[in-house]
Parts: sequence; structure tokens; C-alpha cells
Amino acid sequence: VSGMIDLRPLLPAVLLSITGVVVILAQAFTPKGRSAPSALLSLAGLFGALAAVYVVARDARGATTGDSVVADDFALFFHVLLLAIGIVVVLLSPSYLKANHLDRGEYYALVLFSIVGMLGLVSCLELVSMFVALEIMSIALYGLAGMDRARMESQESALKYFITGAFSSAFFLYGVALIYGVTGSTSLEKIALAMGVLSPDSATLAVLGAGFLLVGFGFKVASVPFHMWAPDVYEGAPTTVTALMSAGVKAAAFGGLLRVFAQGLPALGSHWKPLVAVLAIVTIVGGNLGALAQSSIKRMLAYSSVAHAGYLLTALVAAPGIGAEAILFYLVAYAAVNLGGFGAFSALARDGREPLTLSDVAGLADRRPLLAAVLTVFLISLTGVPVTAGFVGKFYLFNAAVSGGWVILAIVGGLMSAVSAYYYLRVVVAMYMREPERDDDWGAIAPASALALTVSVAVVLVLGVYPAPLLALARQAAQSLQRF
Amino acid sequence: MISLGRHLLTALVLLPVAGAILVAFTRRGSEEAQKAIGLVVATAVFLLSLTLLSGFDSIPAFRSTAEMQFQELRTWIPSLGIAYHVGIDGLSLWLVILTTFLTPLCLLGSWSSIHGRVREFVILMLLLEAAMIGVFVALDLFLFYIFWEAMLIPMYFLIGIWGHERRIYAAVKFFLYTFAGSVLMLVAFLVLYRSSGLSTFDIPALATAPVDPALQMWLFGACALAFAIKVPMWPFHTWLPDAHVEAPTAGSVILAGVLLKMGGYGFLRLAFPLFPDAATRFAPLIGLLAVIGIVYGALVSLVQPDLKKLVAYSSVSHLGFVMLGVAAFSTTSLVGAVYQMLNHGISTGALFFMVGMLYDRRHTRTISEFGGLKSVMPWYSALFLLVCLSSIAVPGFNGFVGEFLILVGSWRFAPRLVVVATLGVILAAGYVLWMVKRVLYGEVTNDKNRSLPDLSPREAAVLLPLVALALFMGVASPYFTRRIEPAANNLIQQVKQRSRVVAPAPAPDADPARSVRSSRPSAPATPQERP
Repeated sequence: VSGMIDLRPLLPAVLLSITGVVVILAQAFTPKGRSAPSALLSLAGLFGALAAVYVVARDARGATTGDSVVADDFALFFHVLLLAIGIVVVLLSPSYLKANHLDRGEYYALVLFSIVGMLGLVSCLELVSMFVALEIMSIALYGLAGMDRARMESQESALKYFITGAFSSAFFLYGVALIYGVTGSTSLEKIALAMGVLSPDSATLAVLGAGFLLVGFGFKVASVPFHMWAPDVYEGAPTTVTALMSAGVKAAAFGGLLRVFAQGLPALGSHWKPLVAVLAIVTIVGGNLGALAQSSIKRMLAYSSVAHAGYLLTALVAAPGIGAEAILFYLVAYAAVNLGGFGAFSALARDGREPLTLSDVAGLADRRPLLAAVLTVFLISLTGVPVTAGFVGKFYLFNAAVSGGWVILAIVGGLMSAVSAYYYLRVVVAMYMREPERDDDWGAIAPASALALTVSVAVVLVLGVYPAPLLALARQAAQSLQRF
Repeated sequence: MISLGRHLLTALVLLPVAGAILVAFTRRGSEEAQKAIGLVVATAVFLLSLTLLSGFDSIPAFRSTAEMQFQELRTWIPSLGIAYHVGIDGLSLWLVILTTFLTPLCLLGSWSSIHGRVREFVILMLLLEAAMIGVFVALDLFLFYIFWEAMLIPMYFLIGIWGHERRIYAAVKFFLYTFAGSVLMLVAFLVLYRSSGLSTFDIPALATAPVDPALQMWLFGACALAFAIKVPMWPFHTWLPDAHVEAPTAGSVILAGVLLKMGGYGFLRLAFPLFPDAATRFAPLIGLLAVIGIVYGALVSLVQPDLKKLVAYSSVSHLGFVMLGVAAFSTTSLVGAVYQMLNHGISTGALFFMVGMLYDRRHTRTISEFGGLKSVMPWYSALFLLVCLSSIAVPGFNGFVGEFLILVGSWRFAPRLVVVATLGVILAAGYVLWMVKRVLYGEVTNDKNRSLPDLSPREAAVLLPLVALALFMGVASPYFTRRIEPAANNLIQQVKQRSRVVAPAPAPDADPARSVRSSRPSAPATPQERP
């Protein structure tokens, strides 16, 4: 239908953007001394967007908006995941913000805007649109990282994230430019077609362009050697924002990565796969060794997030179908675990303090047995021990690596998982086997936070025992990547 | 009796889990109720597992077929061909029953020695039981690995929370050692899955798939490492003394009684049938390491001043016999190996209980602190002596049957190794009897020992079943071995046929193991043909 643009694939993002604006306006029109119902509005928007995803999935599956945004199974899978992440983050936020005197409406608006960017990142079929989505997500996050203006660490976090973010954007753009130069298009579909028939000269340029794109994404997913920002940013940002970054940004960035490499550039696979394999190995090793040396739990989880980017990269070397399926499943498992992990710490926040070191959580199992048990489930899942989603996820990732012929990736990943057991278990040791070192003056867990934690732990355990339905969905979503 | 039919094994796995969930909902203070629920559930699991025996007997054809029994198969993760497949044969039957037998005894034995967090203790014991049963019944690699790894977590907590002074170090070391050893096995499973081309993780199905002999070496190596750490075989045993000594009594009993059996069982259920060529090739090395373990464990036991360490190192020695039997791979030696696994579970389990009872009374385990207990605690001393005699394989006790079968069955495999292994039998008599002399006999030299109470009824209730079983297994061994033997024969046939199919035998001088094997007239006991 020439001249008509199908806007339905944008529906969830549009709804969310409107909600963001409403949240800001509600804040502006609320009389001084009273607080606007920002969290409730945001939840309404997120659930509305989920409903929109349902409508799109029913009526407009596979539709595209002007060849640049698509509502295929892959995009829809990520939409549900990212919106769910948003819901959990919003549930965790009110009590944490109150405890840190940060209760302002902008926070929620920025969370919603960053999710809008994430939604775009996974559904763009065109590189310039994808860049715009990447920036929408990133700029909102710069603001979120610096929310706690009074704390130097938060300011540092925002600035560091901004500068490295700008760097990565530059790399990304340069990669787009080179690919455009070679193929004459920024559309992934046309790029994929053109890559099949390249002359040797332009192939070199195309590989260079792919390399720059990989660097750009490398910053966003925090893979070694582009990870230096992660520990400082994760540590300095408000903990709920860290949860959003580790779960949401990781998921969205891997979604974009799969779009570009598995859907747009599979023809160059023989060139970028060895690169990705090397990147995966150094990321797994670097992330885990870095985590070993940390005394702050938040920094440890930051390095662990680096390591997990490495595990996820291992599956990229497999055939697109198997690899993407494994990555999609793992992203869900990882999101649940990280939201739960950071969420548990944020839920204990009180008067600007929250548990950050091992001595802060020493003896936690005596005082809060349920919370300690829940945290243990998350840590065990991060280690990759059954019966958790983390185990099934790693099993699939390594299976993908082996099927791609890269047994070495599975070996490195497996051995480094054993190393990771040491630092994850250190937290468990502190909680269960050490005597408390201080009074339990942490905050009471708010009902909304308890709900978020319950959902997370349920997801981790259920996927650990019965992963088949989600795997089937992930497979279906992965198959839509092979459209070209 | 309850009839669960095909779901019996599933019920055995799920019943402890259900019990654990039930205990989780009890209030924190009601410790007696928590212990009682734990004991009742574990006893119920034991009784339920006994129905396996009648099921085994009621199928007359079974004794000659050695096929998997009580199988249950349902799809689980279809996209990778992963299924929930469980079943048992003669190799696993008794190990399942050993597990269900020891768990209630452990709960009863820890009745008064566990202080604090009783609820967590009971939950972990029950979850551990479920995982252990799961390992023995799993017939799918994925399922096997899940149970295999899931075992680690409860045991890690048992050592780390209720253990002795260096418990945290021991718990972390135990976890890291076994976890690191296992991940390579997981990679081996994945490679096997790819290279077999069968798109399944089903163990019986994969055991029919030909695997390239060169690749087999790597895969067998990866699995063997995981199992050798678990056994533990020398030189992978260094986690064992720490874990056994630092664990609470129940933890030590389960570790020695059941967890150490996982290694030998893994070799028999997975490593040998899946990688027959590599197994044949590695057998002499395994036999050598086993014998080194026998002698090394015995020598180190001789010089231990600490009772619990002595028992721990004696495990290294005893498990060496098991691995020698596995490596020799004849019907007699395999039956002996499985039998010895049961013996070790009973006699070493009982020893750990008795050391724990002494520790409860005196809060020390140093041998020189004791002496002359015979006159103070006559009942304890009598049972202690019986358990020790069982442990050193005196004829009439269970240990004798196992070690005898292993040594006889391994003679053709490697006479020189058997000669050295026999030395281990003598050394065992040495370190155990010397320890018995220092603890039980002589004058009471330490005043603190003068008024030690003898066994309480509860303690007697823990020990008597173990001692009775040790004696019963010593005199009525056919009752057990006739159920093991068909499965052992079946395994041998399976491995021999396949190692011939996959690779034509190389020149005899190139492979001593194979030449030994082929020069042997069939297995000592006539293998029964499958119908």
C-alpha cells in the first residue's frame, strides 16, 4: 500500500513514551508537599504496552513500519521481556527511592524512556533507526545513573557512562558508515543481500565496518576490553538503575547485536565469528578474574555481568538459529537473576545506606532466612548449578558453542564457571556461615519489592525445572531472524 | 503395599522433596516436629524403596536379562531430545536402597547433636536424599548431570553450617573441587551429543552409538576426571580428608556412605558403556591409580592421630579396592566392586557414627585422649569392635566378601597389582586394630573418660541396623550378588561387543590391556545370554 505507513509495530513504544510524558506532567501539576503517583502511572503504562504487544502479536505479526521497524517474533519476544523487566524495576523502585530521598517523578519517566529505546533497539531493521534507539536508551540511562546528585559516586557514574557511551556511539556510527559505503544501504535486508556478492576490496571494508559495529556493541554489553566503565557505573548508580542496566541494557544490546550480526551480516560469519570467539574468551576470563578481586558486592556483580556477557557471546558463533535461541533463553534467565539479586540488596536500603560488602550481609540467614534463601537461589543460578534457570541457560549456550564447532569456548566457559563459584559462594558463606558483625538496621522489605523478588525467584526455579515452553518460544523468535 | 507401578522411582525422588517443602512451612521453633517429620519421611522413603526388591523378584525373567527396571520415560525438553528417563538395574538397585537406608539413620543419629537451624538441616538432608536417589536412577545425561550437581549444594551447606572448626574452608574446597571436575564432563556430554548424531541425551541409546576412538579418549578423560574426583582416586583425593573431617556426623556418613559411590557408579553407568574403547585403554591406568590409592590411604591412616581423619583416609584405601574391581572389568570383580561400595557405605558409615558419638561425649577425636573405653562403655565397645572387623574384611563380615571377589576377579587383569592390593588388606588390619587397641583396651588413663555414659537407646537404634546388616551381608551375600551379577554381565558384554565393533583390535603388543583381555577365556562366571 504505497504512501501508507503501518504504525502498529510502534504501538507499545508510543504508549510508553506518552506515559513518560504524563508522568513528568503529573509531577509538574502536583502541589508542593504531595507526591505524584508516578510509580502507579508507570506501571499502568508498562502493562498497557504489554497489552499493546498482545494486540500487535495478534493482528500485526510480521508487519513493518516503513521497512525500518518490524514486529516479528524476535521483536515481540524482546518486547515482553523488556516490559517485564521494566515492571519489576518499577516495583522495586519506590521503597529504594524513599530510602535514598530520591523520590522524584523524572526517575520513572527516564526509566520509561530508556525502555522505549530498548524496544527500538531490538525491532529496528535499519541501522540509522537503530542508532536513534540506542541513543534514546543511553541518554535516559545517563540521567538515571546520575540521579543521586548528592553522591560523588553517582556523578562519577553518570559522567563515565556518558563518555564511554559517546565513544561507543562513535564506533557504531563509523561502522554504519563503512557498511553503507560498501552496500549503499543502511537497511539490514539490503545489506544482507549485498554481502553475498561482494568484491574482495569491498569485503575488507565490510569486515572493518562489522568490526566497528562489534566494538560499539561491545561497549554496551560490557565485553572485555570495552568493559572498564561497568564496575564504576554499576557501583555508583542507584541500585535499581543498576538492576535495569544489567538486565535491560544487556538484553536490548544483545537483541541489537543479533539483529545486526545474525540477521544482517551472516554472510560475513567466517570473518566475525573468530573475532567474537576471541572476544568471548577474554570477556569470560577477564570478567571472572576481575570479580574474584572485589570486596564490594555491587562491583562483584558488575564484573559478573561482564563475565556473563562473555558466556552469551559464546553462542553467537553457532548457526543463527541455535545460537539465538540459546541467547534469548539465557537473557530471560539472566534478567530474572539480576533483577532479583540487585533487587534484594536495594530492598534492604534504609536512610541512604544499603548492604554493599560481605560484612554487611554476614549472618543475614539468621535474621532474614527467607531473603537469604532467595538470594542464594540467585547466586546459585549465576554460578550455573541446577536446578536453576542459570544452569539450563548455560547448558544451551555451551551446546550452541559446541554445535558451532567451538568446543574450546564451552571448556573455557565451564572452567570459569567453576572459578565464579568461588566469589558467588563467598556471599553465601557470609550469609549462612559467618556471625553477624553489626545490628540488623536494614529496612523492612516493602510489599511491592517482595512481589518483585517472588516473581524473580519463581522464574528462576520454574525455568530451571521446566524450560521447554520458553525454549519453544525462543526458538520461534530466533527463527524470525532468518527471514532474509 | 502401595502400588505405584511405573512411577515408583519418581516417587522415591519426589517424596523427600515433598517432605522438605513440608518442613519449610513449619515454624522456626518447633524443632522436635521438624526432626520427626524428617525422620518419618525418610523412613517412608526407605520402606517405599524396599518395594523395589519385591518388584525385582516378581519378574522371573529379570534375573537373566539384566534389563532396566521400573523405567519411566517422558519428554522434557523436546528441542534437544532431553527426556525424563529413569530406571534401575542390578548396578543401581542396591545403591538406591543404601541411600534410603542411611538417610533416616543420619537424621536419627543427629537428633541431639545438631543445634540451631534444625529446620534447614532437615530440609537439606531430604533434598540431598532426593538428589542422590536421582543420580542412581537417571538414564538421561542431562537428568543425571542435574542430580549430580544438585547434590553439591545441600552437602556444601551441611559442611559449612554444621561442621567443625575449619568448616568454611572445607565446604568451599569440596564445592570447587567437585564442581570444577564436573563441568568438563558436561562439555563431554555436549560433544557426545553432537558427534553421535542421535539428537538424544538418552544413556541407553547413546551407549549404542559408535564414537570415534580418538574422540573417545578425550570424552572418557573428561568424565573420568569428574568421577575420579568423586571416588576419590589418588591423586584427586585431597578434598576428602578436609570435607569428611570437618563435616558434621550426618554429613560424613552421607559423604562416605553414598557420595563416594557416585564416582564408581559413574564409571560403570556412563564412562565404560559410552566410551568402551577408551575405557579398555585407560583400564590399566585406573587399576594402577586404584592400587596406589589402596596403599597410600592405608599408610596415611596408620599415622593419623585423629580418629575421624583415620576413618577418612581409610576411605581412600577402601575405594581403591572398588576402583580396582571396576578397572579389572570381569564379572567377579564388578560384582565385588558394587558389593564393596555397599560394604563401605555400611561399615564406614557406622564408623563415622561411632566417632561422632565419642565426639559428642568428649568433644575431641584425638586417639590418645581415649583408652580403656571397654570397661567404661561395654556396649559401645562391642559394637565398635564389630564395625571395625567388618571394615577390615574379616571373614564372616560383609567386607570380606567384597574384597575377596575384587581380588579374585582382578587376578587375570593384573596379578602384580592384586599382590600389592593384598598388602592393603594387611595394612588395614594394622591401622584399624592398632586404633582399636588404643581406644578400647588398656587402662583408663584419662580421668575424663571414667564416667562416659554408654550407648543411649537412640544411638543403639542407629547402630544396630548397620551392624546387623554388616553381618547379614557377610553370610548371605548371594541374596545381594544374584541381583548384581546379571547387570554386571550385561555391562561387560555391551562394552566388549562395542569396542570390537568400533575399532578393529590393534596388534597385541600395542595394547597390553586388550591383549590381557583377549587372552582371557570369557568371564569367570559364565555370562548369561540375553534372550
